Amino acid sequence: MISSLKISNRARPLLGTIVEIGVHVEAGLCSQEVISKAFEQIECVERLMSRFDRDSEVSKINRLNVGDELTVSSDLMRVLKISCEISTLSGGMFNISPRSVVDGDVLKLYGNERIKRVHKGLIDLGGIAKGYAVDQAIECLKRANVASAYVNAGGDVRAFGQPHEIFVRHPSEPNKSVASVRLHNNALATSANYDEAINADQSGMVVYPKTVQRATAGVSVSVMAPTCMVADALTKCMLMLQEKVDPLLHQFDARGFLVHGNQITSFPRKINTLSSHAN
Amino acid sequence: MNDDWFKLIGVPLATLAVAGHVCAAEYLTVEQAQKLMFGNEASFKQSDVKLNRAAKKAIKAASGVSVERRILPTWKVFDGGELSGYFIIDEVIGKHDFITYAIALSPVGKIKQIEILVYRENYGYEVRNPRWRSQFVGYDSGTTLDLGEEVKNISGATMSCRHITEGVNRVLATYDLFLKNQQ
Repeated sequence: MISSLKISNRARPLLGTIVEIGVHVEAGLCSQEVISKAFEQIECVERLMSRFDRDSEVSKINRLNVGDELTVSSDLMRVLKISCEISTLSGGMFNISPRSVVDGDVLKLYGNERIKRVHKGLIDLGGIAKGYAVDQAIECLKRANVASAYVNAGGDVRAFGQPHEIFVRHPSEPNKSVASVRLHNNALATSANYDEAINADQSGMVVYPKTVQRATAGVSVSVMAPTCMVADALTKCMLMLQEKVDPLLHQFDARGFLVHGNQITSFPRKINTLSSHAN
Repeated sequence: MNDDWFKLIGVPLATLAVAGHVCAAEYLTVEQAQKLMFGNEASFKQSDVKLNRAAKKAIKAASGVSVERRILPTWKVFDGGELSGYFIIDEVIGKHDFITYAIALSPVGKIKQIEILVYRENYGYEVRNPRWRSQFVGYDSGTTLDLGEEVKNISGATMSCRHITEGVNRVLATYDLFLKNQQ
């Protein structure tokens, strides 16, 4: 059966990275329309949640004064709710307003997609929206009855159907991979503070909330979870909480590993060392 | 807790590439991209933009992005006898990546769609190697690049689309200077 399927994949510059979508279809069938629809879902999430787009809902929230209320889309509400949940469970280590100086959330969420700003502080969904966009593209592909597919947004990956193998890069030696992961109906997200030489623009840099201190360079974390949104958010928690992240992983049916030098620590916690040929 | 959900490997990616597990992907050929962006009925008339020294200077002044190529592969697209837009192939070379992409413009120069044709990640050596470069230059619609049959995805890649944004700005400046008033 597998041999009768052919893979068809495309890539577009979206979400500040290169997003690749691949579908397995029966030979002869056209998959381009399905892929285009999935890209549209990602564009839609980007329009709602980019803080660089003045017209996005996130920008509208960022213009609210303390005490103001706003009705937002169900998509944004879903992301805000899970963000608040992970923020609470991680003791504030995951935070959509990392540069705010207040304790607790800057937004209060109500039913009916209403939100109220209760504290000052810019909202940045950069740590979770990319994962959500991947999830939305995957749901779209499932609705189109595709048997097997994957979506990869620069390291935030989710797949269903056939197993999908991905390599995780070494955080300080980018031409090496340290591990391979086989995805099967789940997601993997990787976050790293790559060395400055590799990531000169410091995009995707992870900072500690409040202190805005940079998390250690040369470290990468990968989290596998049922959805890419959760995997994406939990990478930031794992990078900062390290072994204290275990209860959070259990809560979301997730697991992960942290790479630092030649040491790989898997969570729930266990230490592995890369064999010498890794050098 | 078992951790057999990931496999430890220490194989340099460059070795994988040599073995055929390439860190590069060819997504669409030029013809496929043309059909995808303008439909099966459209006809394409190649009218490349030649970039002499003065042209390069003007584009750089308008977009802030330097121009290295002497020719920008460009097609005027017609549908039912009417100009329906432009199809342009551009390439951007970053420190770590090499991307060939297609950009579809409307008849008035508005971006309709961007699709990546070839994405190749590298860490310096290939780009500095002129022989490797030459497989991409003078690239015409009949050329297909053999990048190995199996494409592996790299997680944790710093796949920046910043270079594409710069490339797109360069293409738009080129349109303004050399295509807009040419009809």
